[in-house]
Amino acid sequence: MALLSSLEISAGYGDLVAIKGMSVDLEEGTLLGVVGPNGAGKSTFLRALTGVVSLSEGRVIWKGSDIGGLPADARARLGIAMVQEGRRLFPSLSVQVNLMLGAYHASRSEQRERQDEVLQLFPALAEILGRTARVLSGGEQQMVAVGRALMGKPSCLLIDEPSLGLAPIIVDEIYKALPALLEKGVSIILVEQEVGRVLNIADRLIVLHEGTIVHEGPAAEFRDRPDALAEIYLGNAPSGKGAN
Amino acid sequence: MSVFMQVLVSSVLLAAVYFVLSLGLNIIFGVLDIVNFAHGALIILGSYATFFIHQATGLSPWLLIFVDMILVGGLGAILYAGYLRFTVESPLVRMFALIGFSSVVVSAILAIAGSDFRTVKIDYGTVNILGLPVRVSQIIAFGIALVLGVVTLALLNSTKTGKAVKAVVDDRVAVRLCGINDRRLSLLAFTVGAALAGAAGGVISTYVTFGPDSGLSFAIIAFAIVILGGLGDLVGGAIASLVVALVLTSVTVYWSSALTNTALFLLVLLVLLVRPRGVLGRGRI
Repeated sequence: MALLSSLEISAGYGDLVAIKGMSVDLEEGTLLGVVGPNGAGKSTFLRALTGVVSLSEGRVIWKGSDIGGLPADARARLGIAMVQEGRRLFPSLSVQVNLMLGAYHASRSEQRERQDEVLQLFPALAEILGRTARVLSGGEQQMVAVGRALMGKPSCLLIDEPSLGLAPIIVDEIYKALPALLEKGVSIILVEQEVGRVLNIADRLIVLHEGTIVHEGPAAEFRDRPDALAEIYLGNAPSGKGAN
Repeated sequence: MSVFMQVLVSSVLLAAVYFVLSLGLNIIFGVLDIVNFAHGALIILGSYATFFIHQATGLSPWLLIFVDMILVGGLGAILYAGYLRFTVESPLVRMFALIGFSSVVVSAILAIAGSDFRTVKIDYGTVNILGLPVRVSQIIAFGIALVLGVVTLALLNSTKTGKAVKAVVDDRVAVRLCGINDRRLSLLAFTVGAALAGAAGGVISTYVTFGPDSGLSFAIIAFAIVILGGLGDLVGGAIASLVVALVLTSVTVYWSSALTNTALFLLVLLVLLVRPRGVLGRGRI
């Protein structure tokens, strides 16, 4: 049984339908990469899974239960965390408070333990705990955003474009943390424009175009045939679902 | 010199009361993005509650401030949970609902208490501050207002719930994604904002005379402070309270009390022009 599934989900903003009939399974302990051009519906897909955007059709299944009617905060408490595009920290609050709010429902001692775990993953944060989030660099912000999401001890982490606007060296730092999370049993859905980075790390890959899945398959399939991915990615004829 | 000192002392005392007048409005705006057009009605309910309960029971008006907070805060909770929370997508509907609520409150007060102006009479004599006679009741009002302001800021800055409320001001969606129920925080913020408006009404009932329509005058002062301090900036609001108290007291003493509203609007227009994010430049636009 998949950890998280979307069954024929559609969602959008007002009259605009951003994703249509998307069915995706995320298996436990795996990383699912989501790629596609701008406006393909990648972010909306994540937002629909977390409940930030309401579904117009379809169901979201978490460990066998339909959670489509639950608000975003209830889904987060179940163990679905999300790092939004643009980091979306609480700019007026310190790094430490940002992290603490990620574990809002945990006891103080649990919060401290989880903060220590986050600092192990991103040691650079230890020196800026007291700093206001507003003044952080983009890379620091991204580390805090991932750290805050991890403070809730999620089973599933959805990350939206972590490389956006960051220097490659910083992005490397963020990507280095992902295998460690997979080892700890956190399943990940990673939305990314930088296809090469996703291919290196993903177990499976889906390609979106205009709100629908135009290809799905093992990431290894694309690692061996980058030209095939380029063909799909550049908006050529949909190739359907690949091998499992 | 002595007139100037009197203006200064009076302004400082009044500033704390003004700060509490604006506090509830600022919290509700900051957290909920709701411009609470019923703020004046909630204040005046606190004033009348203090007046009538004090008259009926003889209880200290200072003690009744807590009763005001419970009564007006409770009413605020009902107003938010029963109606306002359904108007998230319709700010215009919400604005008319709040104006309507204010009209109902003013009409109800008129029907029950008449149009007479009231004041909660307390006379503890005067003391000398810097050689100037100051009413003890004003000093107590100042102290209570200061405690209310400081406690509110401390709760916001040092408790887990307070920090979550500040986080909602920054980014409501991110709060949800942290697993925090922002709907509960919204209800809490409106209730606390209403309770503080009730408390402000209680404090000010010992300071000035008031009638059914006085809520509007109090609300105008509160709105001016919130704009001068920067929308959603409580510390800026504290500084703006002192500025407004100084301006209003100076205009009254040196020119005429008839010019206070004019001076207030000129001040607001000036600040909106040169410093639209408020005195500390941290408010929202």
